[in-house]
Amino acid sequence: MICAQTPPPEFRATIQPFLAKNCLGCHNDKLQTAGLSLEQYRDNAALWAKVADKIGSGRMPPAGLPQPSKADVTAVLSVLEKSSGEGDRVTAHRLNRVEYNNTVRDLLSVSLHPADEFPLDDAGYGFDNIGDVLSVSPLLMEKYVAAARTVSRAAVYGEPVPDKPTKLTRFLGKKSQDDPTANALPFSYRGALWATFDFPADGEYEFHMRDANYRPRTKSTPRQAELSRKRGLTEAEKAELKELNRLSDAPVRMVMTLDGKQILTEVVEGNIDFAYAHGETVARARVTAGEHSFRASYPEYADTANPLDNVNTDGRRKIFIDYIDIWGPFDKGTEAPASRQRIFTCTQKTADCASKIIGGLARRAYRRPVTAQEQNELVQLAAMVRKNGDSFDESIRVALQAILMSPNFLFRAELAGQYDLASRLSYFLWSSMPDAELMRAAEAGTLRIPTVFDAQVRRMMADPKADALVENFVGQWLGLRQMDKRKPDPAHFPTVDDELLDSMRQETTLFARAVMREDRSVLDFLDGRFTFVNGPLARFYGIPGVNGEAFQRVELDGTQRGGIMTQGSVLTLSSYATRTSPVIRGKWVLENLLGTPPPPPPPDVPALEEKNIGTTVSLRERLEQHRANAACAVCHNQMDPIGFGLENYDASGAWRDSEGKFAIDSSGKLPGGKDFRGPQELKEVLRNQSDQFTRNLVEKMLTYALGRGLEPYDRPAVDAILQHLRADGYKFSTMAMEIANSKPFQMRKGEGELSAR
Amino acid sequence: MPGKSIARRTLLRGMGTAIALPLLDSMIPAFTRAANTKAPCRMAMLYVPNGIVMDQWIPNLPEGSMALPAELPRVTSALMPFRSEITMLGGLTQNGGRALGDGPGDHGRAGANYLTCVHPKKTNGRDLQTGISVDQIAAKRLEGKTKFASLELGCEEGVQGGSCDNGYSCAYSNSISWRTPSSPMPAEIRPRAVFERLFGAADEDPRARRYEKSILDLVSSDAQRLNAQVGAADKRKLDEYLFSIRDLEKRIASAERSNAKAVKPSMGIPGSSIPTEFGEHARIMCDLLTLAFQTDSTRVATVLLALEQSPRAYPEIGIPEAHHGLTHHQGDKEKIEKVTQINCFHAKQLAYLLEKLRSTPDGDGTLLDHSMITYGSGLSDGNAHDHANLPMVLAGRGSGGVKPGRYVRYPRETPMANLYVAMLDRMGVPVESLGDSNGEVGYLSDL
Repeated sequence: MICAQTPPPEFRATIQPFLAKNCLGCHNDKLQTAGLSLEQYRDNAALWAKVADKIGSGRMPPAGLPQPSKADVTAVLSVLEKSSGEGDRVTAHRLNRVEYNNTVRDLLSVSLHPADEFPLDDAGYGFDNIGDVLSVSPLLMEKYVAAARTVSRAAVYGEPVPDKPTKLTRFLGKKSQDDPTANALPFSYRGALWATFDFPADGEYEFHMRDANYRPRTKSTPRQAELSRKRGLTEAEKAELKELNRLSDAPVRMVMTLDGKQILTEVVEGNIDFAYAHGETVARARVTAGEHSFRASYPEYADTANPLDNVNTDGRRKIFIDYIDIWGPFDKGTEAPASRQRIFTCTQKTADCASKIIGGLARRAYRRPVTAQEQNELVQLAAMVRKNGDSFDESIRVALQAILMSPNFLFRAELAGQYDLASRLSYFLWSSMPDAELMRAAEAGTLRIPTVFDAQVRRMMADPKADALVENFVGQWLGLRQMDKRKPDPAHFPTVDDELLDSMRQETTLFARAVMREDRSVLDFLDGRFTFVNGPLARFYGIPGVNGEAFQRVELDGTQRGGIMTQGSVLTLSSYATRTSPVIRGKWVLENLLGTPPPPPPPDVPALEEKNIGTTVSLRERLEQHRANAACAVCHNQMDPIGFGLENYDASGAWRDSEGKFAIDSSGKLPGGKDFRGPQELKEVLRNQSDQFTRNLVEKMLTYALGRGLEPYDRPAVDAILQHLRADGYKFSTMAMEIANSKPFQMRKGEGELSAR
Repeated sequence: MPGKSIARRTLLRGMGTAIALPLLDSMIPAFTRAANTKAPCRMAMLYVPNGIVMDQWIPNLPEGSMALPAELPRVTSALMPFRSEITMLGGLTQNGGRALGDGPGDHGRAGANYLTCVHPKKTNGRDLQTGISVDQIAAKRLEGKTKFASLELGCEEGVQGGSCDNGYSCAYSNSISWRTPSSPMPAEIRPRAVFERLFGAADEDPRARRYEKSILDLVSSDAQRLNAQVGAADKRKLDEYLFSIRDLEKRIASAERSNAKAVKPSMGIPGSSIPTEFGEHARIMCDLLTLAFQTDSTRVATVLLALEQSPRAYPEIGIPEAHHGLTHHQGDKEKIEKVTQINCFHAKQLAYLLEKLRSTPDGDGTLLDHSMITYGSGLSDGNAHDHANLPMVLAGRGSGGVKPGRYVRYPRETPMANLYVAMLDRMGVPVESLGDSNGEVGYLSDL
């Protein structure tokens, strides 16, 4: 029960009349819209902070309803924000899994991914790098210990390598789109296999693979059939049969690439009987230690209109890469692993050298100068190892293990002035530790000089490591990680395989990367007139003129596609496995693009009657009930029209003109907006709400950069960033720069500037 | 950029599916007690989400204690072979799971409150606040007696995303075990990793751990120094770190003290991959739990068979639709049928566990004699998001603390917490109260 409390006088004077005029129509005790009633005063700072935020950002009252005057809003905000209380600082921020892996890579040149075994990071506000939500449990601590042990050993001694060349691994792909085999690689109708592998040492490696050939005997000539059935063939007959089998199907070229460069090609000939005897193919290549990607595929299949041409009637593919084994290393390199070169900055096995090495490691790992006490303790640990009779290298390894387990490595706690700013910047743009140049600027105390700072930001954004911003920020903002859980059902979408879904993901990644690296406007996310597709994806979308496996940039003028709402990635993850949902898509747009998530549905809403959709009634008609009932319409009038505007894209992202026997009706009207028909006009309507879009995007990126949820006191900073953004063509790169320069990023709340110690 | 990268070390050990070998007489657990010492009581809580079809769980019986009905409905029929070893409980409620003015979010609340019995704070990220879960209360008090104070096992990977259920952080449904009101204990879902925690890794160099105690000392003092310099909010995080270090140190110390020989586990090393088939995954977790109890590696465990609000599909029993979606059936008979089948599938895994526990000798009886295993959900009617009259079965005899073979229906609104208080009492770690408890449930040991 809500107790009526006595409101303070300025509340009664300013706030209550405002609420009565603008809010109580929905947010009263009877209706409790979105579970909120503002009818009775409650002394709850968090509540009023939220109210202030909604009013201040223009999200409430919702579009389509009468809006309060600017003067009224200012008056209300000045009262509300006084009472919203002091905000919190960012909590000690532990590295998340991605950051841990990247940091180990950059610190030691070790490309193991130990954090892949850590428990999943809890996420907050849509991101997995929110300090307050990232916790340490005894389970995680055990993993830290094991990881530190493994990484330190690999860094000092190199990854364990067998003495003789051995089979290191076998890669197998899924045999069908819904094959549940654990650890199998993604499925490709076109028979491709691709993966990355961490090679333990410099050297040569062999790739043993088999092309599986199950092309049927159905096209046999009578002579072929006769010979196949006959027993006791003469040598000549055997040769003849073999040749007939070889000629019964067109040859297909297989190509294998390593890091994109071809290392093997061969031709697959004949039918199942010919290929059976053929055995393995072997490619050999010299590889440096570390992670490399490889792919084996049949490039001409990229251009087949129907991928199912490569599938037999029994469901098995005709031609595909059966497996790839990696053998090695042969002719192992004699150079010490790269990690040793980073660690052993001196070579004498003396106490002084140990001190120098350890000091250097700790400084880089802790991302700041080390105190004498810290250095001392580590050096003493190493000395103890030596006294015990262990080697110099082992003493360094033990010290390194300690460093990797230290909270100074695992946490970012902001106590060190310019170094903190350097860390914050590098984890924002690179999801990893600062590099030497950035550390030098912090050390020289020049990082806060605007020209120096801005130059660093620009340098870092141009660095390949800034791909992390696309991968981790954009990826989480758009929810791309959901793609694996939202795959289109193979029964309903028989031409959609993992490879196509992977291509969709690459499309969005390449698109976002282009927006970032080409200083493009963030409004391109709404309706940018270009994208990246390869042959199969282009054919799937109906875009002409693109062939081959490689991704190409295409202009989209004159088509309905453009922007992320019409990219396959977003379209599939905002649908059910078997059908579209205009409500989910509408919700996705409201939540992720406009920052106006609809309130949750009331508890006893009956489920949608799915049975006859497409046959006796269209999905749109079924959803009419949302509009018929006024209580439902308030929210659904915001969501459903957006979804209808995208209904031409089915649950797999392909264009369609009808659903069952009903033509798609993609018209709609947003509250307070114009009518539209089709995706292109929908995008124009949303473009007119670009202020909401950009505000939401800035807020999201600021959340990601700060590693905390935003508070009402952050709004002036957001406003300032938006102003700069507007003035500079809404560039993505400007947004990142402005965020890095913003007060919340540069300063700690309540303590002035991050000052040097 | 092409797809998957697989740790080389994992592959070196060979890819394969889990092999569970039957219990061999020659495999003697390291910590067997002499026959005349009283076997300690163990406790495990198993969780299934989204409620259960109640009229297929237990018939509607009046308040009071009575013998179990001669025949159990579909979902619990799998437990018939264990009739005399289980106690079914009805009428228990989680009031903290209800809205109580916070609006929607029943799933977030149900998961977070199941073992804590408090009303969790509605938040998307900042300042998570639920309670200390019953398993962690026991774990803390029993610390030092076994290698692990507790074990958290699961079969579903946590969800990453800001809000899982209407403003409740996903952290609330990713774990049911909470060491402090804001520190969840995440479950391990990789069978191999659980195995290695219990018995060590196969190819490990024993020398590699020689200096770990000294390293722990060093990082501990790093943490204390850091803790002294940071603000209140940061301290909370470093406290978690320090607790975890100390926990590890204690375990190392107690392992050394007990000078146990390397334990020979009575099951094969599980494969390195996570089984995709639910039944297989659940069974191997049950095998590991049995093993952990048998070797006295721990006496407290939780098994998150699926996360609250789980969208998991069960193609292995012919159901491709998401579990959670189906439970909002609104009376549709087809959907109710599918939910019932999922409920049955889950209950079969409990039956598997009980069989394993019953057939594992322990002191003067079996593991099942010396355990209290609960199985239930934070919701009863998943369609209506009902937090009252929750499905609950308590299996085992609790080392004499429980007299099973009955159905007990408690008066309306009896807090679930009262059951947990009773369980802690029988574990030898009594508490005054827990969450919203107002007493201790009766009828568990009386007739």
